[in-house]
Parts: sequence; C-alpha cells; structure tokens
Amino acid sequence: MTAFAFFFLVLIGLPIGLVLCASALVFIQTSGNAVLLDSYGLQLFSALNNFGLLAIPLFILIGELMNGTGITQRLIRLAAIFVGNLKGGLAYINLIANMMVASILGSATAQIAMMTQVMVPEMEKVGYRRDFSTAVTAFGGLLGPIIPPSIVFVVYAVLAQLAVRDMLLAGLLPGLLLTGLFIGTIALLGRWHDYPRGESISWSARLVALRDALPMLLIPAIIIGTILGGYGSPTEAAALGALCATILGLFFTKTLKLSDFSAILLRTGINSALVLFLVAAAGVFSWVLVFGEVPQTVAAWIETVAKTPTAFLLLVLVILLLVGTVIDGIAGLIMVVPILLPIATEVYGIHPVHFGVVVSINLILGLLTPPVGIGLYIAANVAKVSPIKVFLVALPFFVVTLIALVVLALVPQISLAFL
Amino acid sequence: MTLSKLSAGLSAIERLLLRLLIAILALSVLMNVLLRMIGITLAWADEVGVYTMVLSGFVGASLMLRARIDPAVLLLHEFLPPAAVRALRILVSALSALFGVMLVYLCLRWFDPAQMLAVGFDVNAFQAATFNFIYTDRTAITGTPAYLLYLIIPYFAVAITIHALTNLCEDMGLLTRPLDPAGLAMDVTQ
Repeated sequence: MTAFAFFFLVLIGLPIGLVLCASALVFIQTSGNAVLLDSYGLQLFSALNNFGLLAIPLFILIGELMNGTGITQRLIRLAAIFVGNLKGGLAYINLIANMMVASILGSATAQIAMMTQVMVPEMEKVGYRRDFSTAVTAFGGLLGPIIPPSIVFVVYAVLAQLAVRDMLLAGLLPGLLLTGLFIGTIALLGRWHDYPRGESISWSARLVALRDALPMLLIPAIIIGTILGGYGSPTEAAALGALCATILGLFFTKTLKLSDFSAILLRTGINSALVLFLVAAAGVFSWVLVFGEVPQTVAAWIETVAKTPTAFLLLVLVILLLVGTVIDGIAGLIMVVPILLPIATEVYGIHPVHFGVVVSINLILGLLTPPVGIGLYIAANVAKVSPIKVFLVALPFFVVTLIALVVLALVPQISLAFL
Repeated sequence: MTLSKLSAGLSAIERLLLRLLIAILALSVLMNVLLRMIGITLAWADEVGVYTMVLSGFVGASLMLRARIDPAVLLLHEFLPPAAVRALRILVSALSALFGVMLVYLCLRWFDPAQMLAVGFDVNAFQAATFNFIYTDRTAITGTPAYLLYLIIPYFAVAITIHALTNLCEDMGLLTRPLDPAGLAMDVTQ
C-alpha cells in the first residue's frame, strides 16, 4: 500500500518532499503503528537539527554573492591562458572554466545556467555548433556538485551520518578524473570534427586575465584550505568563503551593492529551503523505513542477484541510471540512500564514503538524462536548442561519465584518497 | 478573495522572515569563526545558526509551495493534454492541502493543548499523564525551551494549508493566479 501510494504521488507530480512525508503517513496508518503519529512532527524538525547541514545555505550564499560579479567571464579568460590556442580551444576553456567555477559553486543547475549563458554564444561565434556547445557546457556543469564545495555531498554526509569534511574531500579526485576524461573526449572529437583552433593570447592579455581572475580563486583556496588544513569545519570554511565573496564583490569587482543583499538573502533562503525541506522529509521517510524493515526486505532480494560488493555496485549503477532518468540529484539521493546505504555497508562491507561518491555522481548524471533532466532542460532552454538534440550530441560525454562511474565503483581508493 | 489575501499576507511575512533568518544564520557562524581565531569560542552562536537554518527550511518550503517551485516529477504534466494536466494540478493542490490539514492534526496530538488545559497548565502533571516531554525539553547550549522552536511545525502546517488551498482555488478557476504568487521575482535553481 505504501509503495503504491509513493509511486502514485510521484507520478501525479506532488512535490517530492510532500511525497516522502505523505508516504510515511500512509505507512504509519497501514502498519498499525499509530503511536508513531505522536512523534511525526518532532522527527520532521529533528531531521534538520544538524550542524553539518549549515554548510548548505552558506555554500548557496557564496554562489548568490558571486552571481553578478562577472566571475564566469573572468575564469573563462583565465582558462584561455592555458588551453586557448589548442585545436578545440574554446571547448577546453569551457571545461577548465567549469572546473574552476565548480570549486566555488556547489550546485550543477546553478552552474549550468550561468555557464551556458556565457559559453554557448562565445563558442557559436567562432564556429562551434550550438547543440555541441550546449552539450559541453552542460556536462562541464556536472563538475559543480562533484568538486568541493558540493551541496549533494553535504546532503549525503548528513543522511549517512558521516563527517561532511570526508565527503567533500572525497569528491576532489573523482572531479579531476572526470575533467580529464572530458578533456580526452574533446581532444578525440576535435580531431574528428576539425574544431577551430583558438587564437593565441598576448602576454599582456595573459597578465590582465591573471590579475582579474586570481582573487576569485581565493574563495576555493579558503574553502578547501580550511577543510584540508583542519583549520575549521566545512560550515566554517563556507562562512569564510561567503565573507571573502562579499569582500571581493564590494571592493574588488565592485559589482555588489548593499542594496543587493535583500534579494541575495531571499534567493539563498529559497534555494536552501529547496534542499532542506527534502532533507526534513527524508528524515521522516527513513524513520518509518526502519520500522517497516524495508532495507532488510530490499537487501534480501538484492543478495539473490548480487553476490559480491562489485556486482552490487554495478547493479546499483544500473538501477540509479534508470531512477535518474525520472528523479535526479538531491531528490533522488534522498529517496534511495535510506534504503541502499544500510545494504551497502552492512551486507557488502562497502565504505560509506566510497558508496556516497558512486551514488551521488550517478544521480547527478540524472540531471542530464531525458525524459526528466533539470540540467539538460536548463541548458537547452538558455541556449534555445532542443534538449533531445543536446543529449544526442552529448552521448560521448555520457558514455565517458559512465566509464568514470564504473572506474570509481571498482577503485575505491580514488574516492578514499584523502581519508 | 480573502484566501488569496491571506496567502499573499503570509507570503510577505515569510519573505521578510526568510531574509532575516538567513542573515542571522550567516552572521552567527561567521562571528564564531572569526572570534575563534583570537581564541574566543561562542558555543551559542553555532546553536543559533543551526536553529535559524531549521526555521528557514520550513519558512522557505511554505513559500516554495505557493510559488510551485519545489522539486517534483512532472513527466505526466509534460505529455498529457491540457485538460488532464489541469486535473492533475487540482489533485496535487488538493493533496497538498490535505497533507497540511493532517499535519495540523498531528501537531495537535504532539502539543496536546487539550490535555495541557485539562491539567491547568501544570507541566509536571502534563508529563505524568502523557509521557510527552515537549514542554520541558530545552536546547543544549542556550537552554531555550524547545517547544518555542517546535512551533515552526504547526506554523508550517497552517501556512501550507492556506497556500495549497489558494493554489487549488486558482487551479479550479475560482481565483486568478498572480504572475508571481509568492512575490519571489527570481529564478530558483536546485
């Protein structure tokens, strides 16, 4: 009955947070555990009472503060110094700039929206097809929630009761691996399609680009340095990052005005609530899952199919690829982690951080897979091109991401290097 | 008419509250980090940060419901004909309102005002009768009575009921939906 209610409510388009809350209620009613009703409200509240979650509004605040500062243009000019004059130069610039923006923003969709606006017209101007430019930008945007700071990883850490620091650092090498694979893909495609070579840049222009962009990189340096150096928690690192972004916006780029703060605070609040309410709903949902022994039931079935941890991880990859076509990103994570994590750690002995990296990237990929892929639709909408066309052109990047996922599943050391 | 005014009024309060909560959240965490650099630790600042975040989560969620920007699987909404999509929207708004009403009921069970009244607001008698410690729970550092913070849940329940009913009336054509019903005037990204 609960499963039926759950899928029915998802299908009709009830907000995912309400689906989780309502399914929990249906379970309580049908299982005869009416006593749970008395602590329902407390569970909803307590799910958010977690210091680690504080990093989420602060990471979002950094993104909002940086939004109007022309950061994307500055980082694009910086990336051009390194790879601008290669064949397919602008495609490389797109990826490298995406990687740098990813170290400041923690959200794929925010990054895809920002980068598509700037990169697609630039690439089109020098002869790239618009669908290809959109595809590269969208997949570059996937790096946003993988390279720290990452809102998805913070949510996973809270769901799995792990140190947020460990999860954030676990994304570093997988993010670099994915960037490397995307760069390799562009190199191969560049030879095949004869992409235009970028213009060479004068030394004076390089110096100007460095001067304009380097202060921006103070933000990721502060965030990652504070966490890696053990000077503070990810939440404190995020607060320092937000302070740095404010100072840069007010005094360096001078694009931030005090009158902007009202809108910035409101946008931060809404974008944070979008994640926080899902976490609260997941708290109630996983609480009743435990009472219903759902993980144990699913584990019993999975054990008959997957005999080894590797087989389990590969099975999870396939299941989440299918899940990701309909429910992606944080919403997907919140729905599957309470069920799959206990199985991964208790039955198959998989490290929860390793599992988190694989599952999170798998569901982040769902942002770009039709029929429901928020990232794909945002990129296509901003670039005014068909989402299906973008997805078809992006197939090589999709395949490469799948390869990266298999590698990450098979080689846990990549995710656990900093633990 | 009154319903839409009520919803608009609530939205205005929620927008103001959300800004305030996020500002307090950011400042409290930042103040603690900066003061720690000179050897001063403010334990209460972290607690303030966490609880303002919790409150902001529910205030923001209420606004999101009114604006219809919370994440949902809208596959059917994209493929079905307009009449069927309208029916789906009505169903979603009705179920959202129903959830709000149920949450109000759950809050009444949780806060149990009837029992509190019956024992003449004697907290000890209330606890002995119900084994419900809601009125004696305190936060770990500042010792704030926890029920004051828990009040965000009944607020949320009432607010989403009003917003969902307003959405429902608009879906049924009884009210005209404003262009920006929650007054957010913004693009929201997950």
